[in-house]
Order: sequence, then structure tokens, then C-alpha cells
Amino acid sequence: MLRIEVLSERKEKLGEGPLWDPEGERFYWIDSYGPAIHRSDLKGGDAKTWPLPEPVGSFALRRQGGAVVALQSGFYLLDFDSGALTLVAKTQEGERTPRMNDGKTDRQGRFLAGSMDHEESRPVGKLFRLDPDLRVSELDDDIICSNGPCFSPDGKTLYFADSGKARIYAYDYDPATGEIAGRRVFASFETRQGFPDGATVDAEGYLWSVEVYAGRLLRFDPEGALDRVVGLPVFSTTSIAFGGPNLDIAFVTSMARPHGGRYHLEREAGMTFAIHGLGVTGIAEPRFAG
Amino acid sequence: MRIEVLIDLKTTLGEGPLWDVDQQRLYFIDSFDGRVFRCTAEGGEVRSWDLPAKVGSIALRKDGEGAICSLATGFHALDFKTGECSLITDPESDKPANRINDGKVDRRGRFVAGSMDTMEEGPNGALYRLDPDFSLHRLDSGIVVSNGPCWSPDDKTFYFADTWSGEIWAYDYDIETGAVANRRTFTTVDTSRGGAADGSTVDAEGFLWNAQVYDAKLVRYAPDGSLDRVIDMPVNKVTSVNFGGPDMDILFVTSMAKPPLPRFPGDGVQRGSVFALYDLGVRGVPEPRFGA
Repeated sequence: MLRIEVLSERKEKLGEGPLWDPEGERFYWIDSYGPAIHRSDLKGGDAKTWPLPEPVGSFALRRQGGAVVALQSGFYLLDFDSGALTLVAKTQEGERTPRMNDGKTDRQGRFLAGSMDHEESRPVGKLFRLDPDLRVSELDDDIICSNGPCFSPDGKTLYFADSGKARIYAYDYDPATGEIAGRRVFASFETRQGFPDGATVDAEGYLWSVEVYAGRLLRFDPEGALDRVVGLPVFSTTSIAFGGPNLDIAFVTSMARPHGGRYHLEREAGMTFAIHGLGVTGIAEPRFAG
Repeated sequence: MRIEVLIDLKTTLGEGPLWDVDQQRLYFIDSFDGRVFRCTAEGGEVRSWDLPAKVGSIALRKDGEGAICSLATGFHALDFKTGECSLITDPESDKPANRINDGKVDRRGRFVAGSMDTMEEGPNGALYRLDPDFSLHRLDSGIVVSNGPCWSPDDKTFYFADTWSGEIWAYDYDIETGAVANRRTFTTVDTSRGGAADGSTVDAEGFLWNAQVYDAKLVRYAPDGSLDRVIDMPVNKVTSVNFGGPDMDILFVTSMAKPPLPRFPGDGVQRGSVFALYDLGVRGVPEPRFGA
């Protein structure tokens, strides 16, 4: 039976980046405009927050501890013990409006993250890959708002959404090199109410995309056909990750910042939800290998 | 806040959630299939009764084990023990395209229920009051689809919606006589995404909760009609709401698995479930039973 519960009552300005760490059995998420990374256990205990100096788009845990973080200006390494940040690389220095946004590790432990137009109108965004040796490669461009990178179970398909263009793309992904090719439209949101935001792939290889400004989870089959719709208690849902000891809980973030003047009526806007009983399990996210 | 599927029966047109304080049981109906269901606050001990026609609403009776049912064929009395349904009165026997729809009991035990055009097009429906002596009184007319009758905690205001008018109305209510007067717009419903006002209830603070069918929303309105709170629901076709549970703080919500009109799309695997919402921080008011 479906059960949707509030995991964290913090009203994040822009909750994003839900991530389950199976090793530490802890749930992580971010407030992009907090800006901060948050962590807790499944009951909200062992809570910890790492404040960040500029808007944060995404992060991944590192194999050697701490996190790799996509802040507004580029890639950084975060030491969880001291809270210290070390710059890896600025991504679009000198360009006026991009900021780094959503990212995820591939199945081999590389970190892919894309940027977005801060005003969400011009295609100034790019998709980057950070390799374990901390080298940055540019994979794609002409993106309004990067969101929802995630991989098929075999690691050979990269899914990636441009929210501003209301579509999710699929690319052929080479697990050996991290190169992409063959971009095609996987799912178009042009006739939908909302836009594709964060996403994850479940153990059956189906893609779960969060339809932001519609409050819905959409599950697509590997061919891009809509398989299932699950509504959520708020309109402003942003991203999804599977986790918990059995990887069968969907963690969903949301945002409290206003949109069209209606969020103030949703007491739960910005809270983070745990959804039980979907009957689906996820795949544990690899840690960043660098 | 927590939303759970309480019971997944895939009701074709789930409606009329009704928490009975005496029995500590939740009743609800499948309007299209003509069934009454009963279960505990946890969704257990499910029982059901088949009715001889489509049903719009039910009211439990003060005297004995029975209910008043607003069927497509008129107001009937249902005996829960035998399952038999006997006609009380049929005010619209001359209108075969109509059926009696949503209804609720006022705090003097009168049953107020309205009818609807089953094509949801013509203003052929009316609002009725069935008194404990089984006398029937017409309160209003010219209604397409009657929904969401309920009262303010002080009994002075009666709320009611004609679903496709895009409004919820308020009337002055005379609890001594059961008369209504001074119909006015209580609030305008946001119909921009295809939603419309369905079932309602009034909580202990006097705020009105309305299920906005086809728009996946529960909306709480302040007594002045202003928007207070919105909850997005797991399915689009939410139909009605009622507070219940041992502490009157669980909001039960019905939904439909299959819309009566083909222009509304499907709703996924949760379609037709009864949902329970916990930790809303709000309590309801017990529903009275029918009878003197």
C-alpha cells in the first residue's frame, strides 16, 4: 500500500539532490539556495548540515570520504569533518549567467553534472564530466537547465533532461571512456503541465522523473513510454532517489520558494518525503571514485 | 503529514466517506456500482452491501441498524441486517436522466441531498431535505450536479456546490426549521486545470475542506471563503472528504477508478483507493445520524 510521509519538515528553498548512502545507511539531500547539504537517518535522527558558500546544484559522496560538490561556480571537494572546501575546477568562468546544477555518478564512479541559465531562459548550460583524476570534460552544450542525469542499469545509456526545453534525452554512454553519443529525445513534456526535474533509474531499468510544477512522479519504460503516475502532496516536487535498507523507499525533495503565488498555501512545500509501498527497488548510487 | 492508501478497492466512483462515532467505523460508497462499504479506521473488517441502483450518498439512522440511501430511484431505507432496501419517496421519477447525489445530515437529524443530471450538462437537478418524519422538501433547483452539502459549526451557514458552476455556495440556514435563504458565492474554485468542487466537510475550526475532482487537490477554505491550504493528492480524481478516527483527526478521502464521463484520463495504480491523511493538525466535527 502506498504511504507518503514527511521525512524532514525543513522547508527547503530549493530541496534537491536526494541520495541514499548504503554504506553509512544515511540519507542526504541539499537545499540549493540554503545553500547546504543535509543528512539524517531514516527517522530524522543523526541530523547534520554542511553550510556552503554559494548555491549548490548537486553532490556525490567520495569513496575516500567527504563529497564532490557542484557549486554555482564549478566543482569542489568537501571535507565532511572540517567543512572545508577545495576547488577542483571552475566550469564556466567569465560567462555571465550559468550556474552548476544537477549531477550524479556513473556506474564507474565518474561524476556528471550540468549547468543551467540562472534565469532559466537562455541555452547557456553545458554538461560536464569530472573524472576520478579530477579532470573536467565538456560533454554537451546548448542547455537551458540541466537536470536528472542518471544511468541505465548496464551503464550504457545516460538519461539527461533539459528542463527548459521540456524534454528528457537519452545518449549512448561508453562505460569504458565516459564518452557520450547518439543523443535522442527519450520523453517530451511539451504537452504536460510541468517540466522534467530530477530523475533516477530503478532496478527494472525504468526511469522515474519528477514532474516539477505538477507534483507528480512519472515512471517511464526503457523505450520512453509513460508507465505510471504517482501524485505527491505538494506541487513543487524536485528530485527523487531510492534508498533505505531494501532500496525500496523513494525519497523526494521539494521547494518552498514561491512560484505563481501558490506555494504558501501548501504547508508541506519544501519538505522532504519518503514514499513507501511503490513496489519497486532502486539501484545503489556508486561513490565518486576520485 | 502522512498520506496512506487506507483501502484499495478500486471503487468505480468512490464517494461519501462518513465516519460514524458510535460504531467507530468508516462508511463509504461506490456511487456507480451501487455499493456501501464499511471498515475500521485502519481499513480492516471490511463489509459491503449491494444496493439496487446507483447511490449518491447515505446517512446512518438513529433508530436501529439502517441507513437512508439516496438512490437513482429515490430515497430508500436500507436495513443493514437483511440488506433490503425500501422506497421512502422518489422526487424525480419523471426525470430518468437524473439521480440523487451527495447528501449529509444536519445537527437536527434531517438529511439534505441534491440531485444531478447524469450527463452533467443540464440544470435539471434540485436540492432536497428529507425530514425525520419522511416528509420531503425542495430547497433549491436549477442545479446540474449537487455536491458537498455541509454546515458551519454554529449551524447558521449551509455550504453546497453545483460542481460545474465553478463555485461553492453558502446559504443562511435555519436550524430550527431546516429552511435555506440568501444563496451567495462562498468561494470561486480554480478550474484552470480542469478541476471542480466535489465533496466537502467543515472542520472544528469552521474551515471548509473540499475535494477538487480531476485536479488532485484538497483545498481548505477559511470561513470568509479565502484559500487557506492546498494538499496535492496521489490521484487526480479525488471525490470527497470526511474526518474520523478515534480522535477525529484523520482525513478520509475517496477517489474514483473510472470516471463516469470518458473525457477524463486515467489515474494509475492508486485509482479508486480510499486515502487516509494523518497529522494535518486539524480535527473534524462528528456527523449526526438521521432521525428525530
